[in-house]
Amino acid sequence: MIWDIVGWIGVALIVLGAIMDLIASIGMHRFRNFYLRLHAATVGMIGGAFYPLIGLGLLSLSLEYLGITRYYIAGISFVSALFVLLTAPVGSHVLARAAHRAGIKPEPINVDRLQEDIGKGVMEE
Amino acid sequence: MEKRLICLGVCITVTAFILAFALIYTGIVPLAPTGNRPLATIFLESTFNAEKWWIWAGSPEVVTSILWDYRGIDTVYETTVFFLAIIGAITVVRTMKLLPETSGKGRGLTVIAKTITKITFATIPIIAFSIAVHGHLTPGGGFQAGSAFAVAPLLVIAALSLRLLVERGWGKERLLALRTTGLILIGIIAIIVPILAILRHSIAYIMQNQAKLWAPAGLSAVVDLLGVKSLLSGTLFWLNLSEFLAVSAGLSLVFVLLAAPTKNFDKEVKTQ
Repeated sequence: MIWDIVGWIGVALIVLGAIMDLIASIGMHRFRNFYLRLHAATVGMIGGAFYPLIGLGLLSLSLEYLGITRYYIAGISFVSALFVLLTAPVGSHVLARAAHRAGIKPEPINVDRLQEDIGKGVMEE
Repeated sequence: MEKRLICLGVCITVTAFILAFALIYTGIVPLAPTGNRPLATIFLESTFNAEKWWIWAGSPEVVTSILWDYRGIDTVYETTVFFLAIIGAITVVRTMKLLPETSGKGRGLTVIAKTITKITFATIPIIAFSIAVHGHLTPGGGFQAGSAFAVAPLLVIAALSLRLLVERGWGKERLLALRTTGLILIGIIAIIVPILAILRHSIAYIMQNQAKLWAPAGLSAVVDLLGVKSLLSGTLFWLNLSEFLAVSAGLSLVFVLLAAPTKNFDKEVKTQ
């Protein structure tokens, strides 16, 4: 019973991931400059890779007929999800910094803390 | 413009479908068979079949069996060719001295990127090593493990700077020494079965793994490791380990050389 619920949570996460991926791909095509597209890409990385991996792990844990294999699948899924969670924000952070250093200005902008820090000399260019 | 592109895409797709259908329908291109091909059946039935001990490889992983047993000498030559390619790359930059002072400012990326790179750096060699020691059981093996390992220095170069890597001893000479050690180990393993056979007044081939009808010598597939019966598949495990050492050092060396700044290298060439 409890494993049925876990399995359905897993399926829900996978479906959520697919929807997130669709949204991210639409965003990647429709947004008009680099930083906005990066935002969409991050949605695809966390929403479209992290959630489905967690969902896959939960789903495989709930499938009893897989035998001991289900623990392998779940373990690999959770470890991969952890590394996606760790590395995806760093990837977008480094990309955004590189774009900022290359002189691309964020276009709909309220505040640019990195530019302020460079002006104050806290952060080197 | 948009309409033209869409039209082009539709035309290409329809042409491809018609062409594929016509080729299959006329029998010029056969459909993929549903069962195993005869050659695949031979390998699948013989690699881990102890009843056919005269042609078995002692490993359930067919690809590794083929690479290191059935066509083992070919793989040794392949490794040698890769070694020669790296030697060639070093010859091109032979005048360059890779010292910490001359390998960039060593600033790296931001603290965020550095921290996460350190965490990932610790895990990559573990995964690579596990691929290497599982090479005779699951898909993978020495070359893949070495390629996975080489991601670690690449990440360090990108996020933490080449200078740190050189300071920690990932120099040209040491990596080349490790690469050469790997190749020498492969050479030793290639002739270890013939040497054992000569000591027992028998014969064996170079790169032989398991015993053959006409050359009854070989390392046993199952080895007693500290009281645990482990399937090492004779020489395959050790070949995978040596190849892992060789490829990881070689690819790391290539990445370090590619990342090295050309400034002092240019100066050296001008003075020659």
